[in-house]
Formats: sequence, structure tokens, C-alpha cells
Amino acid sequence: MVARRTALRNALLGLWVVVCLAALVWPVYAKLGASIEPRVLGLPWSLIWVVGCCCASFVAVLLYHLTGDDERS
Amino acid sequence: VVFAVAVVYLATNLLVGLLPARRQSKTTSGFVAGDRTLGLLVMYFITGATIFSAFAFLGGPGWAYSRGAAAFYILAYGCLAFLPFYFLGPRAARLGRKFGFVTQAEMVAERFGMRPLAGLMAIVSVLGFVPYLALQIEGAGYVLSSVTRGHVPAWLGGAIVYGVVLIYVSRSGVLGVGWTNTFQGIFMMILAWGLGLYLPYALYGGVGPMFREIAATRPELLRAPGLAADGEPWAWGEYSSAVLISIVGFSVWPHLFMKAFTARDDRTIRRTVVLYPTFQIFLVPLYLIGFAGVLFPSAPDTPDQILPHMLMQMEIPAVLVGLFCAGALAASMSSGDAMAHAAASIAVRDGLVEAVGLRRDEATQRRWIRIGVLLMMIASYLLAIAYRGDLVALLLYAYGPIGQFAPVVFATLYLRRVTGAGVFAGLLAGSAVTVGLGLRPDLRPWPIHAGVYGLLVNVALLILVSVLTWRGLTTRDREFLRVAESPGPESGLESRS
Repeated sequence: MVARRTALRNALLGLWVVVCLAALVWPVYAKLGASIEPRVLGLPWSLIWVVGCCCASFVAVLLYHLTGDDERS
Repeated sequence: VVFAVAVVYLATNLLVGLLPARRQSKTTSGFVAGDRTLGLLVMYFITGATIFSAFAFLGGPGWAYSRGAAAFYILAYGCLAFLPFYFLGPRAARLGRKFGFVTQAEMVAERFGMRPLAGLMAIVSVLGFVPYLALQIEGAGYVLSSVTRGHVPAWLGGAIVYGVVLIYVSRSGVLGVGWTNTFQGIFMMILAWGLGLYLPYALYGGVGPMFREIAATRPELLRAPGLAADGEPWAWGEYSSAVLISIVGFSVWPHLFMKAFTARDDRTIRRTVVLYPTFQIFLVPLYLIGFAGVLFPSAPDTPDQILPHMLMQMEIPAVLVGLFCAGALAASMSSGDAMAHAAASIAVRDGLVEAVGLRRDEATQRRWIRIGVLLMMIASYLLAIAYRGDLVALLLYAYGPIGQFAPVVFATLYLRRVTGAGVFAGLLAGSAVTVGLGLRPDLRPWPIHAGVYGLLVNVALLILVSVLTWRGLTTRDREFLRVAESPGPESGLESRS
């Protein structure tokens, strides 16, 4: 049971790393995040996209950590 | 007033840096790894503030000002760059507690029983550290020169600031670095957000109006991937490979990796990694500062000076300029101190003790490390006063050689069917390719970072030579991997020195 949960957590984190990395470089960032508009809170979309990836990455790693043995114990 | 604020700040740092000297043991482990007692607060700031250096505080705004969205690569790589440490760090820490390691190369050399490997890693580390430390000294020199309107020349400014660093690093070792970084990290965060919101408001009426004006007049700066150094659009290959090589190299920077050996326990390391992006977001106000300079009426001598240049041209209180000066010095010092300390520790422990075999008592090693700190600073200082390029480019170059450690560290901590010969051949060839193509970028087949070519050669040789020289797992391999994989802190200390 514990081994299955660990494998699932690791697989989900691995998936997130691939998705996040793809979002930060060519061609995904070039297609979806490289433009100026729409601006959010006055900031250009090209910056908001990267800030969004950073925040999402923080949440993903936090969830991974909180569901691990370190914090559960 | 400005100079007085800077002097008070330097004196406070000196005091904060000298106080911990009384709390650590007189061993090399005490001086280099803080007796493995650092908790979450100091670990958070020692990793965060070590990373946020003059490169971020001056180079970040400098790139945003001159190259626009190209600067976003720094924030982009930070999203994932520290994550490998979540897994590598606790394994290294367990091995450090068991075998008494205080540096990355000691750990690698022990796994493969190859002393020359430690020497090679020491040489590659120094190749990466000298430009990185030079960058910090150059940044400190820029700041003091700008805020005193040239009365203190850059070469003297760098010498004054790093004289202070030299004193507290030599006296207090990693605890001095840790506590000054905590103080400096808090100071930097407040200053960066303060200036990042104040400058767009004072010059344009707010962040939104500032970007509206830039979008109307210089839209090429806001579209990723921004501009290259020559003002032409930056290639996507260059941008993407800069993100990739920085992610690969980040966790294995020796001065950062060594902090795994200072942590109190595995949980402290993991929590530090989880919290790291909260430090990373502090790049956003630094970008705002750089973009605020785009439509500023006058231009600085170099893009890296845009922040002090704007502050000196605007009608703002001298105390505020002094505080900026202190914040920028904090950024420079908080990285420079960790690097000088790490580089000297590596040169002595990995170079002289491990590779050359000059095994001496603890007191002698500590004295050698102190001399090493001085020599590293002199070498970096000479590069700083000779170098004429920009700060971010200098760091981006340094990531190439350091990125070559990633396959080495991964293989050391995780892989069974690798050999010392494979690791050595990969590291040597990968570093040579990276340095060669870094010096002659016109020889690259495609416009991507030289370190990526080095990594390809490195991994290919590591696999090929390991396959050819594999003779089965040794007892040392088994014991090493057993300790690395065992959960929870090891209690027995078996110091080798």
C-alpha cells in the first residue's frame, strides 16, 4: 500500500516536471506564453506565464512533500 | 549620508558574521559544515541568499533593461532548478554523517575509490567559481562607485567590501556565512520589493502604465525570448538551452550542494527545497526595476548599472539611496562569502588532501582553507577588474562547467553499474567541450548553450566507458549505496579526517 502510494506520488511529480519544463521552453512557451497581451495586473503575459509556472511548481512540490513520510510522521 | 549608511551596514555584517565563531567546534567539519547543525531558517536563507547575488540584484534589472524578456529565463529555471536537491540532498547528507564528508567531490571520490576524480572536480569547480565570485566583486564595485559618483572607484569599492567578507569568512566559516545571509536575505527582500514598486510609480504612475508605455514604444522587449546582446531577437534555442543547462547545473553548484552536509536532518533539506520558490519570486520586483529604466531619459555606462544610475539621477532622499547601496552589497556579499568559503574548502579538501594526498591535522587544514579564501578572492578580484562584459553572461558561462557535475552526482548517489573510469572520462571530456565551445561559440553546430554539448559528450562517455570497464559491485559500492538509500539520519559519526 505504502509502496503504491509512493510510486503514484513519484509518477505525478515526474509528470509535473515534464509539463512544467515544456511550458517554460520552446515550443510551448513560444506558442502560448511569449506574447504581451493579455496583461494581468499590468504585467505582460510573457512574464505572467513564467510567474504562473513558478507558483504552480511551488504548489506541486508542496503537495508532494506534505503527502510524504516526512510530514505525515 | 549614502556612504555612512553603507559603512554602518558593512559594520553590522561584520558583527553578525563574527559572532557565530564562538559557537562552532575547532574541527574542519565545524568550519566547513557548521557541525551539521543548521536548522530551517538558516538553511532557507543560506540557499536563497547565496543564489540571489549581484547577478540577480544588478544583472537581473540590467538584462530586463537591455534585453527585455530574455531576463525571464532566470525566473524560468528557478521553477524546477532546486527540485533535484529534494532527492540528492538527503542522500548526500546521510553519507556525510556516516563518512564525514564536507564536500561534494570527497563523496564522489569515496564512491569510486578514485582520488584523481576529486582533483578534477576541484579544478572544474574553481573554473566555475572564479567567474562567479568575480561577478560579485564587480557588482559591489559598481555600487560603491555609482553612489559615490565615482569618488570611490569600482576597484577600490570591490576591495573594501570583500575585505569585510574575508574577515568574517576566515573567522567564522560557514556559520558566519549562514547568519550574515539570513540578515542580508531579509534586507534584500524588503529593498527589492520597495524599489520594484516605487520606481515604476515614481517614473510612470504605476506598473500598468509603465508596461503600457513600453508596449507602445519598445514592444520587442516584452515578447519572449527578448533580445540578444547585440540588440537582435534572441534565438529560442539559446533561451531554451539557457533554461535547461541552469536547471541541470543549479543543484550541483558545489557551494550549494555542500549545504546538504550542514543540515541538521533530512527534513530540513526537503523543507528548504519546498520553500525555495518563495525566494525566487523576489526576481519579479527586480525585473520591474529594470523595465523602469527602459524609457528613462539618460542611459548608464553599462546595463548592469541601470538601478544605481536611476537612483542617482532622481530626486530621492540620500538615506534611501544608502539603503539601496546596502541592499545591493547584501546581494553581492551573501553569494560571494559562500563561494569564497566553498571554493577554498574544495581546493584544500578535494585538491590538496584528497587528490594530492597531503593529509594533515584539523588545525592545519583550517589554516590552509583560510589562505585559500584569500587566494580565491585575489584571483576573482583580478578577473573582476579586467572583465568588461555583463554580469548575467558571466554567470551563464559558469553554469556550463558546473552543469557537468550533474551526471557525476546522480551516478554517484543512484546508479550501480557505473565505474570511476566512466565518471572521470565523462567529466573530463564534457568540461573540455564546454570550456572550448564557451571560448569559441562560432564552432557550435547550433546556437545552443555550450554546456548542453558538454553534457551530451559527458553522459555518452560515462555510459560507454562504464560498460567497458564494469567488473561488478565492490564492497565499497554496496556499503555506500546502502547508507545513501537507508531512510532517516545515521547516528554514528565516522570522521575520516
